[in-house]
Amino acid sequence: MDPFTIASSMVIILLLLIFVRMPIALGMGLVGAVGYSLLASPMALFAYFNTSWVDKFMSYEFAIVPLFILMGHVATRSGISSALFSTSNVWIGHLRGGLAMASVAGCAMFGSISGSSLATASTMARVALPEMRKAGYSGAISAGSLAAGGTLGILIPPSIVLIIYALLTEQNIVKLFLAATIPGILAVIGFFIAIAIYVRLFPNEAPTQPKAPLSVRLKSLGQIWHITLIFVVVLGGIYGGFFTPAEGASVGVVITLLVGFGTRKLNFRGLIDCLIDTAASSAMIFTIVFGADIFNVALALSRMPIEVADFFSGVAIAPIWILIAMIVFYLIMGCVMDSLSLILLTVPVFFPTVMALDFGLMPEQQAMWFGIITLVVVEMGLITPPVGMNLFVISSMAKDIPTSQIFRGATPFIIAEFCRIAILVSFPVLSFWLVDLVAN
Amino acid sequence: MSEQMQHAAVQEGETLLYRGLRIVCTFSAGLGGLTIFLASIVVAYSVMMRNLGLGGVRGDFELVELVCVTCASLFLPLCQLNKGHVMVDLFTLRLPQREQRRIDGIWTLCFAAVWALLCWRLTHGLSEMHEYGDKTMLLKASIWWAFVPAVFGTGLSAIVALITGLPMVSSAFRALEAR
Repeated sequence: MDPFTIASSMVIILLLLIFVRMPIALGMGLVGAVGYSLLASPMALFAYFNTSWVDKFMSYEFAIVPLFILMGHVATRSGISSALFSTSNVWIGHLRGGLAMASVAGCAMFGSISGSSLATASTMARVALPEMRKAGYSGAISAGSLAAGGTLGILIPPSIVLIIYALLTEQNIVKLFLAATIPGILAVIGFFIAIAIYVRLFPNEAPTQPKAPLSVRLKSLGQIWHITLIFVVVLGGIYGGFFTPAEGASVGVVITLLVGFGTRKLNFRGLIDCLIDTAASSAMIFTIVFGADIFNVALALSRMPIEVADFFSGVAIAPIWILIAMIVFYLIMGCVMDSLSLILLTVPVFFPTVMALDFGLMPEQQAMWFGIITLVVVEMGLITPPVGMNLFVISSMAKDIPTSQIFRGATPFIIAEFCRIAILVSFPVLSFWLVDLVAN
Repeated sequence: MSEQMQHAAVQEGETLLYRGLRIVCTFSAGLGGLTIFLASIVVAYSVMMRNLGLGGVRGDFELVELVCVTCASLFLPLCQLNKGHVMVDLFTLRLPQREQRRIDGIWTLCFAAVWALLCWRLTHGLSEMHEYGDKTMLLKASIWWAFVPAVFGTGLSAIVALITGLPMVSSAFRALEAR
């Protein structure tokens, strides 16, 4: 068999195995190992296994992942989320659909210290869902705004998926974080507009609230001192070049912990739980990264990614159509697979292809642009039926809201996301303007 | 569908073997969490001292690297025990529960084989590195130390996957799972 046939068979067999419930990490590892043995030799595979686990994870860059996960878990248990929601609420709660907007704003702020969508959705839902229901908001708008708001956790830096993308494509993590800022703000604006239109179409689903007096509003700002502190020190320190992302995450862990202990929301027992939660969420990521590594090393041996890239750079199709085809592929697969697996599986093949295409951008700009678009598109899979994970998180917390209502509530946000993808694709500059600005 | 397999709750009538495994795996995960937590404190201290112009902790970079591979290895067994690995179940939801469980059992046994293979190869890696005697630049930590948690984590994961996988595949092994 020629290498290209082996590589294509690997991809097909892997997809089949994944569809029959094989854990994705195991599938990539097993198929990759068989491919590796065929393309090189079983002895070469054994030699590779001698050190690959340690080589891969004895890494300063990779340590960012468990550190940010730990910081997120500590933040989740520090009672920060309730202050975020109540402050957003007194500022914008009186608008039509204001409580839903406050939930989105709270998610955005929580997302600026957490890199996980599921954690953001569940943490904010615990606070905001009862408040919205009490104020007479419908199940659809309450659940939809929280599920959509949760996706901001992954988009607004720090973002675990973006870190993995940076490691896969050897891009600068700090620049990618900066690049994600404007698309993140666009997401918040898009969600606000979606809520505003929805509550005008269905006014009885979101009764208006009284406006809080200015003194209460100003006073409420004092409540969010902790998140401001964490955000300014951690991300300010990283962007300002005072420390590396790993150092920023370490500092973040310590400050968040001090906040948790200081506000008496976190105790020693809670800290132990944070450590074990961190183990559970990181181990899944470590395993899948390791499996993907074997798979991608085997693919690289077959030279398939390079050949695919050569092929597409030679065909007479406008580059934009190839990018759109990739986006459509991501949208479909995103309905079925989780974002991290999808990125680990596709980026090693898609990235060289995209980089071989001419969009009239600098290579680094193109890499950031593609990274942001990929992130936004796969993250949309979190709120699209049939298997949007954020919808399930909300559903498990709000047993009284039927699933059909939750799906209906997600619809305006999915439309908003489509608009945002179109904007980001049409105006690449949005994905690297801030980086260029800071660099100059 | 992608979702984490359900976190197995502590069950009534759990065998002593299962309870023992759960304790060991949780302890391993907690220890891994503790190493990354302590590393974050050292690094935060180092950053503070450096930015105050007092000089950072020597070799904090290497410490983070060693801690990263240590926690990655120590975290594995609990994830295996809780069946925390991501999978897609959208296309098999129509199968009866028993069939789904059997399929999951087969994959869990595959996991056992892969972890065992990896563990075996890592012991070779360990002895190679021990012979070379390589040390890190600043901390003078031997590289082979990093292999010890890796061998432990993959080895324990293999045992966990074998013991949890067998009763899922065949009821002949039910005694492993429940009293």
